[in-house]
Amino acid sequence: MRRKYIITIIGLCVSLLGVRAQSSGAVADTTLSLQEISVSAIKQSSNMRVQPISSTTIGGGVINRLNIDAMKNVSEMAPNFYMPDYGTRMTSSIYVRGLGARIDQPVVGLNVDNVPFLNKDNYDFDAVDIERIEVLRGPQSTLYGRNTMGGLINVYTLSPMKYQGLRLLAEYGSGNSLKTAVSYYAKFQPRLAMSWSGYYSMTDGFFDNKYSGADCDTEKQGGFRWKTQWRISESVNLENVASAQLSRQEGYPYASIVTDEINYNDTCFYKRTGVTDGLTIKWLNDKFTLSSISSFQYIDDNMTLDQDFLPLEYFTLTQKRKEWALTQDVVARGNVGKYNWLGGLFVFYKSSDMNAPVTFKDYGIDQLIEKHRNEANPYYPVNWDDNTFVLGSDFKTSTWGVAIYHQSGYKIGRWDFSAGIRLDYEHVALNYHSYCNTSYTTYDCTETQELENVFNNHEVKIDDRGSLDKSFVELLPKVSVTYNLPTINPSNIYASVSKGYKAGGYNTQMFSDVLQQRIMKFMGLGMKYDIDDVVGYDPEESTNYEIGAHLTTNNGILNADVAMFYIDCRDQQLTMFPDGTTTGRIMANAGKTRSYGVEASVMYRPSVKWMVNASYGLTDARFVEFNNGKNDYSGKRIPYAPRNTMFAGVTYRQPLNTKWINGLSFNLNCRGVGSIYWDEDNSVKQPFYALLGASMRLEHSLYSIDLWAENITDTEYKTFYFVSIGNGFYQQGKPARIGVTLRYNFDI
Amino acid sequence: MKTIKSLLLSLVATMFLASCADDPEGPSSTQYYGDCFHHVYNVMSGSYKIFDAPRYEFEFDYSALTADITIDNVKFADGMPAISMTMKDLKWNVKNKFKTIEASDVIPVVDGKEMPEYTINSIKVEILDRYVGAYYEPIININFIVNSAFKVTAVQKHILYMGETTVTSGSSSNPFTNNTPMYQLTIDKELTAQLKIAGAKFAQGMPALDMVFKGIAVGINSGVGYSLNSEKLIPEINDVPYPNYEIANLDGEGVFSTGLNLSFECNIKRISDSNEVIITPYMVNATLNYEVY
Repeated sequence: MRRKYIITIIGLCVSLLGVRAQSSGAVADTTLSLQEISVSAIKQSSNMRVQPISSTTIGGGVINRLNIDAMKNVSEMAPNFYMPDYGTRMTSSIYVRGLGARIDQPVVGLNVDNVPFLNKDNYDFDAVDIERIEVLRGPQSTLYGRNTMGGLINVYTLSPMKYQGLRLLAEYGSGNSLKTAVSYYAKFQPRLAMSWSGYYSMTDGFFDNKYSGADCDTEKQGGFRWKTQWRISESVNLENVASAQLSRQEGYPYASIVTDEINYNDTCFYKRTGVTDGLTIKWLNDKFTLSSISSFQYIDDNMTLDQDFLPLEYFTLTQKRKEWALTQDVVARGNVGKYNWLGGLFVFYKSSDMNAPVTFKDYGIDQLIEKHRNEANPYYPVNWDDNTFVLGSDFKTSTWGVAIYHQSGYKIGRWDFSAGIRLDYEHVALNYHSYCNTSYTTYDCTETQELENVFNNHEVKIDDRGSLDKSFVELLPKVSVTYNLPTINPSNIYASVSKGYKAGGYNTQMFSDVLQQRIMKFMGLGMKYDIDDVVGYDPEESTNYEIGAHLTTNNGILNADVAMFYIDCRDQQLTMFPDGTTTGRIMANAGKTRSYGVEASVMYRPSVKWMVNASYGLTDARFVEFNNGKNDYSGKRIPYAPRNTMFAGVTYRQPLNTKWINGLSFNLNCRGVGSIYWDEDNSVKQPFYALLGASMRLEHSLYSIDLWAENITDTEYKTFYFVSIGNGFYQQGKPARIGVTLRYNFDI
Repeated sequence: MKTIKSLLLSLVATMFLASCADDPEGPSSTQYYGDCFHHVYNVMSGSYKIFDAPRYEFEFDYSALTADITIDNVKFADGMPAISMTMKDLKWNVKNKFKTIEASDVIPVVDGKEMPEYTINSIKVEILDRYVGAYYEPIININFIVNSAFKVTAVQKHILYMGETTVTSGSSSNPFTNNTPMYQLTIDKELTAQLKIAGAKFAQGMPALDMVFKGIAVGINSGVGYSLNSEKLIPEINDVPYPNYEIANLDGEGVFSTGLNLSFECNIKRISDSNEVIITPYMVNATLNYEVY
């Protein structure tokens, strides 16, 4: 069935070859359109390399060549930027310069067509016709606010003002992976253009669950985008991007470290529906520009997990959520002679409803509750009355914030001086409802070991409701100085100091710990902690010190970016084990870390046929202070953050003058990452590994066919490792893969 | 009966209702007290009687620093009808955080008439208004001598203590000290006590336990304090006996005005994987007072 589908798509593409068309040519690698209104252009510059920021811009050519359709594909291409591929689309762990987050608040912000994504659970999605990806490293909090402590990613999709035509894509690869996309770009008037894009993809994945015999990393997803660009007048530009995505993934491919098997019995899946809309309006006059960026985001998702990942009846977790958010950013910018200024006001509101029950099953009740309790009192053992019970939790969270910010710059000769400040206020409120209704029986076994003599019966009824709230105020300064070198092409050396922060809030996942402690308390064991202490946490702050350079040779064939940085991070948000509990954890701002390193990127074009790009990042990130109540990890490397990232790619294009092929391109690339420690104790690690990729492209003005391969040497490596109820699990990286991608562009 | 709820909520529900006409720093306030029984020591015979459910009313005048005391349902001997007596305009002040009323040779008023046959040779009342979290947990010490014949001690039925608990065990040379456990002592008119320790811990990293010791023998030292004794008892956790946590040689010396010193042994038994019984002895010493930690 699938084969027929693929053949039909390819046939459709081939049949369209008979239609007269014009070619718009290959997409340049670093395309920057002055007609676009991008958030980075609004707040900084359309050319990031003139800014005192360590940044990587990935253009459309590289995006096409490396089949980049999601942020995880950008991992390692930007130095010290690592986004591991594990779990599901909800898992969007990003590590930049040693800073990262697995749960709750992110350290890196994401804007897609100017829409700021507030929830990191939304970060992983596919997009078609990505034109450019910018990865800004180092705190961007002064201009972009919350949760940009490690950096910022801007994703821009193709502009209908720049390109008009029909684009088709069909791709098939290993794992029975299929992707199709169709986009239509039209300019109705010189000032009004729109595009519509849709895609669908599916894959059987690469891993099987031994228990069921079924694939456990399958996925089906689809999305749609409608983009409108309207130059209302000579001074007013408007852009609106509306998009929707649906995805459904089955399973989490986590294997036991002992058996190397993926083997669990309960259902695992993740499904998500997301809708976003972003409206950007820019008004220009002689003295200043005024921009407004408004957005709406909605997410409806469901994560259901076999939380023990074993073929045993332990416990399962479901997390169903509906969340919506509104943001509004107003930016004014202007210059007077050598003085330039920028000021802005940002407000946002986010509301989330979540239902997150944990279901304890027979074996879990026996091992996690009865066993501990009965070891403490074998003379009066307990036996649960039910085979399963539910620890229920409902949460309503509302978060709102307001910020004002300003940046001033002054140019003296070749020197640019800049200073900025942001005042950020945020308030978060959590209403919770935790409930449980179960019971157990205590037996008198003073005379017999059989469970015959009932001593008493205990009800465990929990029905807790409450509300918590926190407010935070952050002052976020930044200063920088840039020296512009006397070169033909822009080159500079810069130094900067900036502060960043990760917002505080409430980690609702910790409520399961609260409820477990409540149940133990019912049995007379353990201490009851203040819920705010367990689940609440304050902002995490960092200061980044950096020097760097953006260099371009006079003939423009070599671009090089280098940077050295030092980051100290305070009040780190960590999970702790307070004294007196066997299972409970609390959130705490308990750590100090420091991180230092270097980054380098090079792009070399010795001729029109050759292009070489490479990047390397080195980070030494460690705990300065971290005692979690059980162990002291001071001096240990921060887990999950890689020490090295590297990327190297070589492309050769040979023009051909035939009827069916205009050019032949070859690309060879290698990306590497590691070592990565998986725990605070630095006892388990993934050594450095490298993945080789290659592609060959047959090009025509109308179409291109790519034959590609990834992880050619079938390197085995782990992308994630964790411990659950004393058992270690990992996710293996994807094996060697091959595929073919057919693109067709019918330019108007 | 649920353990953690009963620990604090039952005290508030049964014991003490503080009623203030105005802010305590205003002109006057009235306090009521009934969570006690009278230990009446007969000076002549050397014996004692227990009379339950006396009720006290204190009216404090903050400007004149005088207080009126009314005691309802008072008896000093079997066969005597219960009376209500009032003493007026007694001097009071604050000593060591306690509101203290002291007086001597006071002729009380009973049924509207002065009764010299019930002359109060000396009376001392100490009230510590104390909050533990959101709960009002006062300490009330009352003792008086009637007609040189009866020494009356109002024994508070529910007392909450906190303080430092030190645990030494044979397996460790370093004593373990912590001040998080709360000790709730309940003394009944049969002079037996129940001691509940909320958050008892014997070692670092051990989960805290809510242990209840029942049936502890109580001795009253009239006007001074009380003693607690038990040679052996099986504690309960959540209404379930824990024979493997058997307690031995429990001794307590309580002084009404200052606190309680308590000691006991706990021999924790566990069964090893090879079915061997392993006993770990712990010696617990607690120096408890009325401070809130």
